[in-house]
Amino acid sequence: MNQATLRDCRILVVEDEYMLADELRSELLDAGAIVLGPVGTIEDALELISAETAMDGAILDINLRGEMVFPAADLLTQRNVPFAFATGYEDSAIPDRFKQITRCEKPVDLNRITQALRQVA
Amino acid sequence: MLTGVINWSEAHYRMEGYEVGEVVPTYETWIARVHPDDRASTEKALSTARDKHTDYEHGFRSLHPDGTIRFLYARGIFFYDADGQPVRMIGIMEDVTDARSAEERLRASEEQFRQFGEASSDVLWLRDAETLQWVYLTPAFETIYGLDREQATSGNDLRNWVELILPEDREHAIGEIRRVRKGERAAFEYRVRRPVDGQIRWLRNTDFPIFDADGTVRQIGGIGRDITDERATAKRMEVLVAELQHRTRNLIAVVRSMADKTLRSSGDLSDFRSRFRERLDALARVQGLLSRLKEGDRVTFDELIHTELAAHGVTEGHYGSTIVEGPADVRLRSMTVQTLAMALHELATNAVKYGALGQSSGQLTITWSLEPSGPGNKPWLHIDWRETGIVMQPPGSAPRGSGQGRELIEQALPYQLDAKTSYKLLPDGVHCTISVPVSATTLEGNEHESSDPA
Repeated sequence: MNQATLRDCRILVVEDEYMLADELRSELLDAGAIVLGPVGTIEDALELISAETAMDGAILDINLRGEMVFPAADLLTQRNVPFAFATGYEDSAIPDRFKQITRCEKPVDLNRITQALRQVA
Repeated sequence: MLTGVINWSEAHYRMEGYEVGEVVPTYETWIARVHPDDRASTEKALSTARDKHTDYEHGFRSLHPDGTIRFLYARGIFFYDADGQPVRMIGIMEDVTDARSAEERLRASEEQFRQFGEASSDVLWLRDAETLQWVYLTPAFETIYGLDREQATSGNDLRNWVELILPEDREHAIGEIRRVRKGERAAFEYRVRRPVDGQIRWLRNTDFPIFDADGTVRQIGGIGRDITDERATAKRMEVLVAELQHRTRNLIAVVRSMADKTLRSSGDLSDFRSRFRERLDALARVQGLLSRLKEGDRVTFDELIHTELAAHGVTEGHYGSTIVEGPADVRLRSMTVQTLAMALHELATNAVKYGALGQSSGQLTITWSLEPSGPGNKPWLHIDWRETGIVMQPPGSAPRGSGQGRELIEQALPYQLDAKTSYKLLPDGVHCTISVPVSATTLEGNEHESSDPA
């Protein structure tokens, strides 16, 4: 897998656990991406997606402080921004409308996320 | 009857517990073997038949000298002379003991089953296969369906039953009854609305055909169980398992990132080993605190700080010069506990290695207070960690520790817990403040709060 595929891509990170958000951010930076966020709440995620005009992809944790990330996922779908879920949940916890979305189990493998974002982009 | 001569058959002797020919048959030898409790009624039956010129027909017990009891059934007719005086009687007596005990056993077994039926919390019923009307329905029906049996069985009771079922479940339920009527077994679930309170309950029926000797379905038997609570529990378990999955995965991801970070700041493997272990131990302590919680319970800050200090050798009651002061029972939001504990762990570790817990001149003062209505109208906890009397390393020397504690306090706590923090290296030691919103149940005792930690 060639990590350079994310070079200069603007990637949003939504993850409420600081350690994980920070890890993803540094891995994305290493891969040459431009990181938007990270943000750890659904409010911040919605705000950032609404405000951002150029977004190439997003990585979404599903449970944000007990709230589900799905409204943000809907907004990304509307805006045709490819995204992947990073989660510890089983598929059954994800609504049917997102069944096509790649779900990366935690701990996430950045290569897999990169592939997922590239495929749909 | 005029002569008093009585003839007994051989069988008669035996029925009454005599050897054949043992006694001379008389009224007295006969009545002597009638059970004392049955004598009066037996004699009365006899005299009534005689006086009223009716057939004599009577059952009684015969008590033998060895204690045996036989059930006898006697029938007889009197003959009268022209004046209407009885002159002769002939009769037969039958030993019905075996038939009678079989009947009693049947009655006893029916009674047992009836009691099972009455006691069952499941509703048991039988329907006639032809009319589909109930011929048996146990009291559990009233508890489960919220309708008394009298009402339920008045008129066409199949229709009454169907009308209790939610419209969208009716067709399926009726279809299953039809299948059983054709001789199949069926297990199916449906919902009913209880007339008594409008509550909806889930039922699981296990129905089966009862066949005649010639193989036609004569009755339909059914066992109906209220599975409402069962279903709710199953659903709760599903949610809990999903939560557990989520938390475990998150925890493993945190451990992985912790390992990476520790590795990056470690000089060599043994350095990594001791630091990584300490951090893992701290994480394990938090999981221990969290897992001991009962539902609705919260970890309190004093519990957390005492646990963390104890792990660094500062045990309650042996604080020496260390001051640990603040209100007890400040309840932390569960999602904040892990990150807060890791921050306290880093502070304590640094204090042991470079600060007030490692230098004899050092003084550690930890104080905290609760602000009932802080920013966002939430209760806030303000923590003040102050080390004094420390000989600090000269500026420009190698940094204290890995900086992971500082990062946790300055970055992670604000990001993850909306905390407000400060971390300063003063000339005589560290001064750190952490303000964090805490569980509203601290004040109200019952306000709902998500207990998700991540």
